[in-house]
Amino acid sequence: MLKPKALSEVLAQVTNGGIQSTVLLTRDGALLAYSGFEAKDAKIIAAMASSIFAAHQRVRQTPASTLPQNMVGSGDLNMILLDAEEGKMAIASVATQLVCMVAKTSVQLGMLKAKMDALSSYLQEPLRQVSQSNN
Amino acid sequence: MTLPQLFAHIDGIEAVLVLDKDGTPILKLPTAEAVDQLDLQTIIPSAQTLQDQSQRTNLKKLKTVVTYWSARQIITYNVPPLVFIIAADTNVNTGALLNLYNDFQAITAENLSNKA
Repeated sequence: MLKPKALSEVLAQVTNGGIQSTVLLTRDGALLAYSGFEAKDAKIIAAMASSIFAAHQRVRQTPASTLPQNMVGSGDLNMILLDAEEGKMAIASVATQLVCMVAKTSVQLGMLKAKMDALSSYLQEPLRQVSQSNN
Repeated sequence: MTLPQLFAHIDGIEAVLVLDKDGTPILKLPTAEAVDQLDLQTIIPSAQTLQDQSQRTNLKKLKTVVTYWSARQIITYNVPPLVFIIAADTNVNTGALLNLYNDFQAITAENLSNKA
């Protein structure tokens, strides 16, 4: 069973040092938990993150089952890091869900990735259990 | 500075694709066959989608996108009017690859000033 308050607290632990918001969402873009920005902004981030991740998955997964091992689309998409003029964003796949972090430009991509890796591995097992119990 | 010189000090780069602003391939390294074999051009629509979506958020103009797959990492550099896409092994130093953004900017600026 997922405890929303506990989830938000876990997300809050990484939302510091230039990380502006951390959002846990389903692959459809539905918000599960968030920390940082207001709910309205978190919903927008969730929608954008889901759309960006799906854009990659869609492009490469269409023929995924038939792709030769050497092709770009072979294997799983684990993480996306975006570096833009006015901020950075990281989106990672955790079990059947997604985690998205939005950071200021002052945050280095390595730090963003390290935090995302730490959060992903912490949430992996609990979220996997939830997704298994739903199946 | 030429593109092959830029990549000489980074081991593990599998392919490089350079696109113009319309997404048309203008250069494939090391060979066209190598890039075609990896099917790197499947990235083209998603690079454009990402750019559109980034502009809709507060992030403004997108500079680089790193995607980590289980078998390799793919980095897309948005250096108007060109887009550079690099496919590399997962073990390749991502920092060294990201640093190429500055070199790409210099090459693009040099190229444009030569045209002017």
